[in-house]
Amino acid sequence: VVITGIGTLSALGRDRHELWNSAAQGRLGIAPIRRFDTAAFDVKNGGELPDDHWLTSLPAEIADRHCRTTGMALYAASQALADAGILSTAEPRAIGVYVGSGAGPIYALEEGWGNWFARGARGMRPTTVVQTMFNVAASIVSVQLRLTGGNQVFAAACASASAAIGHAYHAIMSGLEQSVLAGGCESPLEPALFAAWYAMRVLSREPDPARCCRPFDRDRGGLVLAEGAHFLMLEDLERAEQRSAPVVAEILGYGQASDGVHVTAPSAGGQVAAMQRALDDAGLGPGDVDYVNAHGTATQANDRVEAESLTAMFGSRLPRISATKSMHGHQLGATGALETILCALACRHDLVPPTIGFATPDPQCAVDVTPNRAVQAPVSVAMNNAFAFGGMNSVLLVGKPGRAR
Amino acid sequence: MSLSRDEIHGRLRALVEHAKKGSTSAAPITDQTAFAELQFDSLALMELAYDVEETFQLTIADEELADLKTVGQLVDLIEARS
Repeated sequence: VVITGIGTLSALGRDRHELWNSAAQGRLGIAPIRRFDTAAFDVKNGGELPDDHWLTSLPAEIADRHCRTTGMALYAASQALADAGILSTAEPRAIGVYVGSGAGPIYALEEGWGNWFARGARGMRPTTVVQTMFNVAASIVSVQLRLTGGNQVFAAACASASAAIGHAYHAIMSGLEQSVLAGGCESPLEPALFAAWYAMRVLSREPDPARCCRPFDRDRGGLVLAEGAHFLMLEDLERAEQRSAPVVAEILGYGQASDGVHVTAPSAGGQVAAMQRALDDAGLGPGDVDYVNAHGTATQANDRVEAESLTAMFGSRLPRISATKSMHGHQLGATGALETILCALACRHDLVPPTIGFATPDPQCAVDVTPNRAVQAPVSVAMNNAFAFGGMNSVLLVGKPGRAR
Repeated sequence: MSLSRDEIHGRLRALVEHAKKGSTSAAPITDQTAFAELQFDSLALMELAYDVEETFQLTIADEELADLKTVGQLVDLIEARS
């Protein structure tokens, strides 16, 4: 199964070229939040889209009527399709749409339930259901782009997009789908959801954006919420070759496992099991992995346990590791798609993007995380970790074209 | 409240323009204009009905909504009730 197209929308860029330039240069996509008043919070920073110009390319009925997250998904999915060389949507195509999202159409939910609380039953508009149904992003992408494979949403918190990509990979391998646009969309910068995260005391209170998200640093202070939508066009190699599609990289394997322990506390057992299953699925061993894009959220607990898991998985021969959330923040249900794209581009360019803002090593996280500068090094196989609240761990393996066994 | 047909048309025009957002139809909004010409689907018609109910403080029954084909029919319905 090959990746033939990429669509991306986040503070690090509005297409794969902008994204890769940002990641390779270690650019910071975290800044003071502007879209809502943060006076009630002592958390000020987020990974916000720098502007809303992207909205103008959407059909008015979507841009005006639908949730911001739905529009973001359509923007990134359209881009991935075009990047794969499919420029016309005049005819229906047998392509699936698998979307990861942790919170779904959150702005539409806020408006819909806001109307309910303000005016009761009479406040509910006729289109509230279609705007707030959890699968709306997958549905709108399918309808607008005339894609007739299955369309569905995967909800597994921070592992949502990785699960969507992993299941798309297996759906193509099994013959259920021929091609799938797989990815995720999320905007946790909706004020009520932001307040809920704030109440959980896991957000970084650091006022300086450049020091706000510091995964694996001894002085890390928590995660930084960010918005984004990212899609990969996945297709059967034979089909891609038939239409002479450009191949960016291959999906080599997918593994998932739940901790089965606690709703938020991470556990090394589930993480190692997911990594092992991904390697088994790909027919690879730990020594084959050149680069790991870590989950690396910059919470004390995540990074400590993930370092333990990486050491348990790879022993003394650790691959290169980095935590790119230091640049793009935590996009929750979309983050696995963004980081899988970065893994694919790392394979393409033989470059490991950095963990920026890194100052002080943590003795409890004894892993080298490619601090502050990208490293040119051969990347034939890359692993992306996504470890979610709820206990779900999803691990994807990506490789250079032709790397699959 | 009693509204003239012109007043109803004036208020309704804005609601129809709002509801047809996204449609590429350039059809003018007159009594004869069919909602099909405006490329209204069932969701757009329901959104329009909701706005009409709110703006003119009336109720449109399901069967009345199903029978609405033209702007003029909607104006008739509003005129009869306002």
